[in-house]
Amino acid sequence: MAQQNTIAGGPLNVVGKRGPNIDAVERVTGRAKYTGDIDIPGMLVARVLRSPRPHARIAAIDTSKAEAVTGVRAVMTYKDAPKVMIWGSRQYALNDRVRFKGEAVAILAAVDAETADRALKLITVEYEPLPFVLDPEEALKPGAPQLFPDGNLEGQPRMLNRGDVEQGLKESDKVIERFYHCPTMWSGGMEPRACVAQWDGDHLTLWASTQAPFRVHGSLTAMFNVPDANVRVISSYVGGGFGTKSAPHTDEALAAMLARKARLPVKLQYTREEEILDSNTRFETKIYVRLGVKKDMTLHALDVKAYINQGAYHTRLGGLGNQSTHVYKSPHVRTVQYRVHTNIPNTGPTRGVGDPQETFAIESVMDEIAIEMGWDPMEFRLKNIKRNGDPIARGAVGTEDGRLVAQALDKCIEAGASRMQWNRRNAVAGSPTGTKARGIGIACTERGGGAGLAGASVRVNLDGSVHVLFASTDIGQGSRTTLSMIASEVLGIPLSLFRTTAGDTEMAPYDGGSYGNRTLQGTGRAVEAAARACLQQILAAASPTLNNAAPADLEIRDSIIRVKADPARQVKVADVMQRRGRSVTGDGATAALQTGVDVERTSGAHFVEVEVDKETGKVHIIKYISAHDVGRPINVTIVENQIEGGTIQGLALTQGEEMRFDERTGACLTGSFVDLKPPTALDFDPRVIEAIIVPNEGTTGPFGGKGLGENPCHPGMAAVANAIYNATGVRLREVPFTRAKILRALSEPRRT
Amino acid sequence: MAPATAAQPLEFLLNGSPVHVDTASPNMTLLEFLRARGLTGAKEGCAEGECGACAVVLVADEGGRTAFRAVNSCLMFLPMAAQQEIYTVESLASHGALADAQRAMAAAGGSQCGYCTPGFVMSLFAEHYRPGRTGPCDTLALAGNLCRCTGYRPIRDAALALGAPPDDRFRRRLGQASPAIGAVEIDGFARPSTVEACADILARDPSAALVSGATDLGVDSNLHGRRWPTLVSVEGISELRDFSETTTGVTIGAGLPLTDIGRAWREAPPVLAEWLTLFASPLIRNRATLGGNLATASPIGDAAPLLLALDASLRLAGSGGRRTVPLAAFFTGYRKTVLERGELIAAIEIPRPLPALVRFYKIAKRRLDDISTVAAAMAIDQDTAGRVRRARFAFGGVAATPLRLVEAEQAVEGQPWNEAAVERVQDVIQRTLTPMSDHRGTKEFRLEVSKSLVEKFWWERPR
Ligand SMILES: Cc1cc2nc3c(=O)[nH]c(=O)nc-3n(C[C@H](O)[C@H](O)[C@H](O)COP(=O)(O)OP(=O)(O)OC[C@H]3O[C@@H](n4cnc5c(N)ncnc54)[C@H](O)[C@@H]3O)c2cc1C
Ligand code: FES
Ligand code: FES
Repeated sequence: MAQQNTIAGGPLNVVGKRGPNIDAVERVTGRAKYTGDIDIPGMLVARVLRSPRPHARIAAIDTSKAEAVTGVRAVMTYKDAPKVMIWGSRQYALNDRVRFKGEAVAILAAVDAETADRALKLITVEYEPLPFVLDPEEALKPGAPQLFPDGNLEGQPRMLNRGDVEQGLKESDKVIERFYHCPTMWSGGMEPRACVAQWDGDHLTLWASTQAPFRVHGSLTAMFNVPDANVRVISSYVGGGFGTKSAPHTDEALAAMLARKARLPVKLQYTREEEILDSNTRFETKIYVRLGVKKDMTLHALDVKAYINQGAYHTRLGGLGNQSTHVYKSPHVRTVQYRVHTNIPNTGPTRGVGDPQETFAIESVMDEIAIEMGWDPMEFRLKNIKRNGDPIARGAVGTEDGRLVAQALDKCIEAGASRMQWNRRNAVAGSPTGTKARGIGIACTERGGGAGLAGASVRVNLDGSVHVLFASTDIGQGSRTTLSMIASEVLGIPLSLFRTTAGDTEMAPYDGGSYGNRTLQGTGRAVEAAARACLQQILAAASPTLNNAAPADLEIRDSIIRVKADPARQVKVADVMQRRGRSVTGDGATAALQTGVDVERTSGAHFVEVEVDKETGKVHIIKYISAHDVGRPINVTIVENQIEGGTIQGLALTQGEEMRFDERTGACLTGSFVDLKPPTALDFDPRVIEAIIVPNEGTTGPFGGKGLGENPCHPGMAAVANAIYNATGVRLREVPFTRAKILRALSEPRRT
Repeated sequence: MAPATAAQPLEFLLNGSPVHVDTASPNMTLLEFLRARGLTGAKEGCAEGECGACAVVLVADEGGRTAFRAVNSCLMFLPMAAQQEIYTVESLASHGALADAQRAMAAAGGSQCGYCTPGFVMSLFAEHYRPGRTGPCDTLALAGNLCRCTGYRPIRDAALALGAPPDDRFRRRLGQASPAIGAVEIDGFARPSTVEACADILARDPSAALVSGATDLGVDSNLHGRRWPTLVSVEGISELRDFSETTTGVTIGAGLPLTDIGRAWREAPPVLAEWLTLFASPLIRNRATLGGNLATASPIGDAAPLLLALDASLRLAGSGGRRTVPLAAFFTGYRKTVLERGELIAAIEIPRPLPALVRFYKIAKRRLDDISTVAAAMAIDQDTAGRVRRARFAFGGVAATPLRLVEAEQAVEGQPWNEAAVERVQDVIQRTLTPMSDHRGTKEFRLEVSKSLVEKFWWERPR
């Protein structure tokens, strides 16, 4: 395939094709070095002593016996920890008060794991227990145990308001009121958190398994009060994050603290249990909804009150709102969110942040009211979704001051419905007789993307090979590949000549990181700009050898620069670079991508057919269609894999991954894979999942691409609940849909 | 064979080269050892046998044939590697040329974040070279590997894209015998070669603990910090790895990995395959044994219900001699058995004829590779008039021990096997079972499910 540099608007040569990841060989050979694989001579092993209590003050702590063990190089408690909170959190790396069971109380570093384990047992802690609370609604009641001096509510309740909801509900022809619950759920990747810290004087190098190296960088420079230039964070290969690694965490600080005290490099690697108990996992939501419609099938008023269980500390999470305000037109909308601290471990943004939970509530209640009104749930949605040109809020506020553009939700619904053959669904829910009942459900979703600051560099070397450097990360979404494809498209240099450096704060300009559908759009735009800067320099350097042709009259194809009007006049990129004698570098940076009134979002519609075994309560997925708008796909293979992987994660939430806590002790009862049971290759037959990429083109991303990573994970819970209802007439409003719940619901007398 | 007492160094073949370990901590895992040597392709994802990120391949004997077997290196204590031949992901590519399994994974997009990839590659590699395989690779071979990113379709595509293995150094290796796993005795670890020698060590050293596949002990060590001053492996005792099938019965060595039982038992009833696929994952089945499963006396172990329904007995051996105990009399209480100190399970005996109809059911959260909430095995023999001659209802997860519902069996024996009989069994379940409630399932759920399984057994009878 010919590689030609792309002039805006021209045909594309690289973008939009299929292809394997450019780093696939590193990964399949085991050569890819993840943080835990790093070994530095003399490196110490760190261990964390964790609180056995969900809420307590530390009355006394004695580390002397541990310090006396031969081979122990540093022991630390709150007494010698910096009094600076972790970025985005109310948490100190170590404190004299613990607020969840499993919180770090003391840390040590020793020459080997055995010594560290032995010494850890010798630390004695006296706890003064405090009353604790696990439920977000309980935590807001008067007299509830208080986690912080200013109470358990994080900030003000978050409000999004448009119209007058009470009035709107009064005006509605039909109003229903429902409650939906998603428990705390584990959402992590395969690689448990890991970091390696090394100080050289007052310079810190920290290898970390993080999605956002510059956020970690910011957290650590503040904590150790050193200049930005003194901290380097490297996150090269990351074994998945799904949001749990999108914010700085205590582990990075703990490793850096120990390494500084011991004056030796330190590795801190979490076990699976630690990773489950002490990461930022998916938050519990308790959502109360009132929905009012008019007889003409229009949505009229939507009132959403949500309690978000933030766990002990985390504060910077986006919360909910997209699904209530951005998917459907409704003159009256109000969402009130209470973000509540409780004595469970930290939660945070995970694939979709609160969107899967909110999609579950909104898409369930939409289904419920449609069915009560005798409407086709899909027609009802099509009637009310926002389409191009409709008013939409520009920011996270209620006022609809923007205009929706490049939207394709209607196309997603239509494509998915036709593939599923929507009209096969039961006209009357629960009508199938016999032990195995089939039914079909739908759920829609949307989200923004590309937010925040991004940057990247591109360097063309003397031999014409290219290096793309960026400080967001490749956490499995394939950004090394897609970002290189963007630069390859711009430069007309084949992908095989590309190398990448990902996640390095010293090598690449500032970038927010990889989360929130943002890498492709944000970092991608920066890479495109950086590549264009290189292109101009190369063409300018080539001009003298090509009879001083103007750069605009030149093009690059397969690393050969030609005069467009006279292609026989040509020179190789490598020759131009050799003659130039200096590499060409370009930097790109993007700020907010959307500044005018135009608002671009990314949407999708899922359709699922289930079969419910009424005897065992088992739900079997028969067919699953995930139709998504991704703008223009940069790499079709990667997009399909993202859609399928995200869909499976959404489905996983329906069957398990619930984190349960013992009400008497505050202990997590599901601290291992044995209890969480992430799906294996055989749980959901991948053949039943079909990804549809709906043709579209975005207005802000590189080459019309849009962000995608989060969305495929949103609709699973709602789509499956709606399908189970269609099959059995039983409505599930609480996740996960265990066999026990289904059997119980089936045995209850049916409401009509 | 060397006497069990002769001290030997810890030696094995790693990626084709001999390795000598001078001082091995007996509780170190093979995974820890490999990673400390810089072979970091194998990852730790869980240290409990659940994720397969740590998978490596052993060269093993499969009934006279040599095969590659993927196992979880996080659940092998390093001394268990003695005399084995082990391959890690680092050894597959040679001179820059990827192995087929690697190439297929890369081409199909089967690796996203890549953390799970080396493990998948090793499982797929073993399956690719499986002796006697015809047709595409069996995707069931990947059931012990977790991936959070891909949704598995691309990995499956990779498996289905692999044809016959090439005629290369790996295939040639399979043409030769597998390594002999003989006696070993090093500090803190012994692998005797006879039952008597094993019993001797146990009698001599009261702190010694038996280990078979280590799929239970390994988890105990990694996750709960359990330590044993001396581990005594039964892997070198050939008697424990025997399998025989005669007209009067089937004898299964207590140390035979589950994978081998499936292979060796040629005239097995269909229930065995059903049971095996539901038991853990291929990676675990390549190591786990019946002896280990029964000796733990877990109320939710899967072997007991099936073997109870088959009227199995256990052949026990110890320094005091040998005895045979019906399995129904083996469990004495929660995680307690009649095993005496120094006694081991040598074999499981299943009398013939087997019941005409046997089924095994397992209720768990996940379809495969999951611990049971409730497990049940049921068997029925009928006479020509349709009356029940022999009935067996065996359950796990419903009481402190796995058990047979003798009262229910008596309530249907001699009578027609019909819906009324099903109700009598359900009545006994409701009256006599006392399951506990935990986060896997409430008492009520376990009772309901147990009753519904009897109904299912009846519905699914051959008609
Ligand atoms: C990921 C995973 C999934 C699993 N899934 C299942 C499942 O689906 N169903 C299920 O039932 N179990 C399951 N298990 C548990 C375990 O695999 C089984 O119990 C297995 O059969 C144990 O056998 P082993 O040889 O590995 O035992 P080991 O771990 O070697 O030993 C277990 C215990 O038995 C003792 N022992 C071993 N052999 C003998 C003997 N011959 N005589 C006397 N005592 C002996 C040991 O001293 C030890 O106390 C699972 C485990 C894991 C890690
Ligand atoms: S590390 Fe997960 S199975 Fe070994
Ligand atoms: S590719 Fe990330 S876990 Fe499999």
